[in-house]
Amino acid sequence: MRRISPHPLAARWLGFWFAPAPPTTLAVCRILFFGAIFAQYFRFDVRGVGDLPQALWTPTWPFAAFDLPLATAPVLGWLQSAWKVALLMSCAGLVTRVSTLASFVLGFYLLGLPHNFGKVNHDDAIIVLVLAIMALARAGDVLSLDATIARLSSRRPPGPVARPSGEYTWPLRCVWLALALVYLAAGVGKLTSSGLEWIGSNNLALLLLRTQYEYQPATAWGPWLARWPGLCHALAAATILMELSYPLALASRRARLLLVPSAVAMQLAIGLLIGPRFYTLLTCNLFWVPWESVLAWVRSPAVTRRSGG
Amino acid sequence: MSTRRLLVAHGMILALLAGGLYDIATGREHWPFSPYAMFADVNLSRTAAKLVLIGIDEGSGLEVPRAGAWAAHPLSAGRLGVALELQLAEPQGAQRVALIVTQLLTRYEQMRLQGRHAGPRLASLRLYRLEWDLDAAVDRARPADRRTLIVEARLP
Repeated sequence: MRRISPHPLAARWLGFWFAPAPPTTLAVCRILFFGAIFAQYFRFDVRGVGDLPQALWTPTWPFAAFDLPLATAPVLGWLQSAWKVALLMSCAGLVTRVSTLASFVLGFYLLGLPHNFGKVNHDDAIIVLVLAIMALARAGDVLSLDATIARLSSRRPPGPVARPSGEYTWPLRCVWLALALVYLAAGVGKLTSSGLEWIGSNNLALLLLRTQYEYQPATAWGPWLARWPGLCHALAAATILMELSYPLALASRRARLLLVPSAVAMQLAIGLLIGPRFYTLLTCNLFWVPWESVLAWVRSPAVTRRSGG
Repeated sequence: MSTRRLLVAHGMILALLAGGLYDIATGREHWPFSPYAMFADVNLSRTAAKLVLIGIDEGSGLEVPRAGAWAAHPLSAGRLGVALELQLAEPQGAQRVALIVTQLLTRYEQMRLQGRHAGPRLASLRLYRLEWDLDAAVDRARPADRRTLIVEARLP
């Protein structure tokens, strides 16, 4: 019987999203991502939103479409405690499928609440998307308490228990896609709103001055940088170029090596020079790191020493 | 991978693509998707401006700069300022902002009575627009060059 091979485009699509991979990279990402989010949101407290002025209430579309209620302060207190426990359990890989789902559902509600009061911020949107991806992923198959408990209860010998699978590839690629869409949107937004004037005018130099008063960035270096208009034009051009070309990182390893560190540097520079600190966006970059290879590299000298000795 | 799991994964991929690209194409916000339009507009004004809430101590008549942060908690004072700026740009935004500031003053007083902040009782809560000229040497510790009263709410 003749085997039907998929269309080359379909094969590329499937190869990109579902190429079999070992479970380690996704598991390390799970540990680091949920650990970082727990640390970043440890002091997160939205109990006070319940008595904010009703006149400020302008629900975002999910709150309006699903008629999500504004819980009372005690209920919000319980929900945010449950969310933080779920984040920790997800990090540890304990009842992973349930804890990652709870992290997403509770995170969607709790992180979404403040955006209903007159201003939608962008700092946590990517987190909600990554929580959704991780809720559907098989991220707890290794390096988790679930795996340890399963091994102990079945008295299996220690060792790799999960074979390479596309299950460990598509969640990583989805996070890449989410990041690519963020930067693409920012680049397209600048061009459609302002065109090349965003680069050619004094906009960036004035922004570096203005935000000293409006956003109080971490440093006062912005005004110093604003003294060199040519440098500001070059930085503005590099920003738009990087944002528009970021999706290339999905397909090209070379582009990835250039664009991902550039985007991280840009985010850090925005925090230092302009003000908004997108720590959450920075956190998501850990999904670009091939942790399986990193761990192999870290382990290799020890193995070499043992075999040599 | 099973067919069911392939469908789940494709559902996620398509949701990300549809939500992200729709907001990019329309420039509209559908949290958690967004067109990420922050700083996208060219602004060549040589003035920095922001809205701030300042309380007036009932006893001393002195200004209480932290009153806005207490009244808006858990929203940051900066976030509230931008929200009020957006409201002011809407039709009949001025009336709406006046109502919001009144409700914030009432909330401030309720929170004070509940011991949720350490501020004094206020006679009023004022919303100011602060402006700095960018032509002068930039020093963020410098007081605003202009301060315009937008609205003042008083306790009944």
